Amino acid sequence: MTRIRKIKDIFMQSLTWVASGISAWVLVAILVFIFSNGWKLLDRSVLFGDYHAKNIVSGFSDEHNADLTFTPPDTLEDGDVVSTRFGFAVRDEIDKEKNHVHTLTWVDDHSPLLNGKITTAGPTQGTPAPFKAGMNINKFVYLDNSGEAITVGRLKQQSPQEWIPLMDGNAKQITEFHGKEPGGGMRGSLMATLILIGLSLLFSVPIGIFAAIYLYAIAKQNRLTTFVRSSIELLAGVPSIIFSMMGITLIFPIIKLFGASGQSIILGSLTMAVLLLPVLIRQTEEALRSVPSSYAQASLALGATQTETLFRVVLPSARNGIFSACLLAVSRIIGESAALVFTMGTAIQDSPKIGSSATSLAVQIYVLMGGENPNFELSSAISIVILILVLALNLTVKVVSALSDKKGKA
Amino acid sequence: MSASKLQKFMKRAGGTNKKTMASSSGSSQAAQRENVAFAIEDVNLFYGDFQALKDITLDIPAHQVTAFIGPSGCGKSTLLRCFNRMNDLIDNCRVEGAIYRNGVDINGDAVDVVDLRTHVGMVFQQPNPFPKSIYDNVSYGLVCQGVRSKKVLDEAVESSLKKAALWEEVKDHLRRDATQLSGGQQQRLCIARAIALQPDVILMDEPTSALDPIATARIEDLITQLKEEYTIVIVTHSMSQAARISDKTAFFLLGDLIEFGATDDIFQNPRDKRTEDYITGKFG
Repeated sequence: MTRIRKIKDIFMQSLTWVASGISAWVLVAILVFIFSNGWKLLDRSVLFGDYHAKNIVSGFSDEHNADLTFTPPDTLEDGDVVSTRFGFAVRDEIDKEKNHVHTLTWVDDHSPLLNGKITTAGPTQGTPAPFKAGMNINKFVYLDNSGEAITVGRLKQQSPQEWIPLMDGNAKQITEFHGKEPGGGMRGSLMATLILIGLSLLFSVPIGIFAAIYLYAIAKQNRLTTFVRSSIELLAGVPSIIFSMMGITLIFPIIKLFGASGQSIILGSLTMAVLLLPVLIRQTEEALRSVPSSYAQASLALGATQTETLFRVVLPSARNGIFSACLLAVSRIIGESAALVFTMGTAIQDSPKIGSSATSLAVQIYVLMGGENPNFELSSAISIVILILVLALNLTVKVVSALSDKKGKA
Repeated sequence: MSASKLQKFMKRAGGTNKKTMASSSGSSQAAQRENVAFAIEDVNLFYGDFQALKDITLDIPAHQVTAFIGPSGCGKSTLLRCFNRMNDLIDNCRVEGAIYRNGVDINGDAVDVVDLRTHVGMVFQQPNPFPKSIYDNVSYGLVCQGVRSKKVLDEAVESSLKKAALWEEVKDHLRRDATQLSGGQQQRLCIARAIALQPDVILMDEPTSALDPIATARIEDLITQLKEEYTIVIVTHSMSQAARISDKTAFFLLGDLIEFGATDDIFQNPRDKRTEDYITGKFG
């Protein structure tokens, strides 16, 4: 080998290394970014909590027994400021939406905070509204010895180190405490995503399977079939934002007849169903084609009709492939945002309903990142959930196809 | 050369006459013939422009084993697939001439091909059980027929598997996936599956070519037992197999039926030079 050839060889090889190195590095970088930003945030309250914070005003009319003192548990950390008189601890921190909050880290089982009742006038007045660990305290209003109402707390720009001793020393009776259950959870979007998956598959899978069967077995191989087939191929390449527009202009007038009123999960899932059809049809047909023709021959030779052969032998034999197609469709739904922004809306809901607007996980990220101060942390936490779901689905597809390969060889 | 062409023309012309005669004066002639499973009269078969079978005329005897032999591409499998009209599945395949079964041309309009296939079973070259349980494989044909009674199905499965000499091996795990069986067991399962429909005829397209010698011997034993009840037509590449198990042998070459007769005669005193050359292994 000449020198030149050797150099050429090394050069070409290093090109392949660089290329694969770059792709691997980019993937790892994305993962590292998402996990470093979102991992510390990801807990029960993010996964299953409400997105919208709930404001609560509570208080009690009785005077507090001044002799009572509480001892804090050992589990409290540095920075937790304890009110021994009222039996709670508060910590100054930054919440998921990047605001300064005073979070309750401990509330004693006998703390008066647990006896709070809603004090604002209205139908809910008097109902219990206990303050528990995890909630944020905005302010306290108490009466001091002279009977004057004093307001303390975060809203007065006081740190816990300032206002807790003040209250412990002077309060005769707490008349109001204002707080909120922190938001920033993804439960609503998670539920909306599940509903979306269910409805989209409900509409698209039967149509996709039957269309694939038609193309595979029943359609005559003529110009029309070729046209239908190439339309499906083309449709698979149409950007999803165009499907979103189609959803508004074509599907919305139809579901309007049934009383739908605008952007809704049902409109989103019908749009997703149309978007998924090409992929589903193509992969189902592929799965049907991979069934050995000897099965169909055997069935026909046993006096089964064409239809019986299709539904009793060919379709069941293709079920792994069809199942994989459905799983890939699910991961497509989880990851889709463009097709849903117009059809399902961008209003994050804590309890999504089929007939009204909601966001999927991906759209929630779109919303969170779209505001004036994008919320990287919460978005990353949602991304982690999306990635884990999609990864699990892809792994399942791999396992299923490996299993069916093994079976095919046996 | 020209003489043989003329001969063929005559034959074809005669065949057409015979055919019209058969359909006009009633297909009685073939129907009356006892002990004939299929009466094949002047069958020509075309794949597009290619003629795969040329003027085939022969009677397949009932309750005997008839072997079709010949080199690859001679048309023996094609003819076999005419008996249950599996050639219908091939797009540009065209069959001329008549094949009478119980006096009726099976290519006729009145014949229900689904019904025909329940009476004429088929076993393929590659064992092709469905990826279902053994039980579901055997009962498949009956279930398609609309049989739902578990008792009837149970009995049919048991008796079919017994006839196919597989019962003892599988009776304790009928729910097991059929694709887990060995090749020979799978082929016997395919035979059982065909028997379950109580056909008159079982067509076998090189049923042992994918099997090892021991499995082959078992299938051959089975075929000899089965001819008591069924007419068997078997396509085989193995001359020794044809000699061992068949009563009648037909030798095909390039779409022509060269010679048809009792197996002993064909193998011991072949009338045609080409038959002799093939049997003695001069080509093939």
